[in-house]
Amino acid sequence: MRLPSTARFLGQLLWFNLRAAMAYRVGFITSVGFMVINDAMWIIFWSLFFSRFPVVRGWTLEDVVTLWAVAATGYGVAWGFFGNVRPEGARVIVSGRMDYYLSLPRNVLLHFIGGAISVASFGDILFGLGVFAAVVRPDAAQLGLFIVLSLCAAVILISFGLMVVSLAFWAGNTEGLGLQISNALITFSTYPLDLFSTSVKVMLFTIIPAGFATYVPVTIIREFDPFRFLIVVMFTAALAALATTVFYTGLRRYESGSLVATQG
Amino acid sequence: MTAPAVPIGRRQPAGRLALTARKYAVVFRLSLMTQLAYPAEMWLRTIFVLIIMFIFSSLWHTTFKEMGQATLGGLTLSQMLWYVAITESILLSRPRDAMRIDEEVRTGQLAYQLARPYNYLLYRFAQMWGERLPRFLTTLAVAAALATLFSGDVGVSLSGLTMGLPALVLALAIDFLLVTTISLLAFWVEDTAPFLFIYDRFLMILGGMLLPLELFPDVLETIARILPFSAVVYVPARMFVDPDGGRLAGLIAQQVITLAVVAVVALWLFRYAERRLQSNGG
Repeated sequence: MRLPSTARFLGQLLWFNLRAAMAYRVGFITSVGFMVINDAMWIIFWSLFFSRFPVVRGWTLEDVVTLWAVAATGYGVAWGFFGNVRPEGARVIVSGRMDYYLSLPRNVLLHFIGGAISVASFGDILFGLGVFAAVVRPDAAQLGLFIVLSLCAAVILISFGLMVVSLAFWAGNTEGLGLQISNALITFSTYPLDLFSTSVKVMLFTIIPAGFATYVPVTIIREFDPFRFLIVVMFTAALAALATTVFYTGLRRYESGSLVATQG
Repeated sequence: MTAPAVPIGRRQPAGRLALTARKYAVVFRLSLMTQLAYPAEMWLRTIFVLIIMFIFSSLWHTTFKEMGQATLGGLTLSQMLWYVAITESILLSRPRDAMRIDEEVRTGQLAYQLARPYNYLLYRFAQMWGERLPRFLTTLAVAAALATLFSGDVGVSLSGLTMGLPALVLALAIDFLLVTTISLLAFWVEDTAPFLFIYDRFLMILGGMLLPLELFPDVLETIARILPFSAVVYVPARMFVDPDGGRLAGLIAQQVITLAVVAVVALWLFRYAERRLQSNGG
């Protein structure tokens, strides 16, 4: 009974966020356009790099483009639609603005994480899908796999972001720390993990889950492996469950800000 | 015995110059002290440098090993990592509110600033140095330490320091003028942040921040050398790690010409904008 209602709420929340993002057309197009340019610049860098050194640890330009496509689409969905999992989300907790989400008869977690949007992140989605289609030229199965794995990446990034933001329940304003941790995840997600030593790889599959978010998906798209696919899906589900537990545990420590405000 | 009188007309310019210099030195010092008042913030930012240096160290270690060459683009592994350390320090040291001229134009604060007894652009220039110097040095300290740690060697020699320093000073001055020019566009466009964004991306690619220009395809290398972006990033970094007396004059000349052109554009834009300035209210 509750699941369909929650799914409907999530659907409406995403639809509302998309409409809110597009309310200011010029601003939307500008932000999206500049994010596409930003991402494209990195592809230019890698094109230059691979024009000089064609293969690095078995990675080609196409692999790095796929890595960027998965990362960009994942981040686009995560930060675009669920803006409060960005480090700035800690401000909502610290300033007592969680009251708004607590006072409504809807899923607090979904409502909170979907309570803000990042317009520029929609440019990531556009870039990710566009560059994957243009460079990799996938067939229908590959495209389907890409979308599913990018959504898994999005859930991993949302879960990780939520745990980082939830630190604010215990440690106060953790926005600066959260920014550094997020930067680490973003940066490591966009480089081939085969460059790094085993100990660093272990870290990137545990503390900073860049390995599951982008690296493993790229290897699956390159050559489908049902076992790896299952591992990614299971890791995604486990991390989402862990993040939910951390958030609700932290929420018990939340102190109201007695703030009377409307939500824009 | 009284000292012989010095004609006022001959003494005044030198005195005025010293006074002017002292005025901007005070601006520099105040700005420097403000930056130094928050050391934790300054060092916290270097965490990102740590990540970047680690990643680029891994990338270049792998590339050198796979290519089986002692040098790439004329640089050894140690020089390459120091090159990245310097380019990253240049880019990351720019203060976040470097676009405050943009804000002052849009809010009208510029009208008040112009009424004050200083040259507005020189004031901002002195302020930029006070803010940027400690940021640059802390970023470079961390980046260079990591470059040495990851490569096992110091990629900058004494002659590199001697040749790199003047190039760095010119580079930061050019960067200031380019950012100022972009900020002044606020007289005509609503938001100049996207222009700065594009400028930064050009520095990243065409400036040679991530890849020395020698590793570019020939045509692109020629284009990148002509454009002003390489004068901000590539030239100082290359001079530090690969000092070449023969090349120094050419590269410094490129920077000086770039500086002159950008200064003329920035000044012309500022004077033109000044005439357009309208102040409303009190």
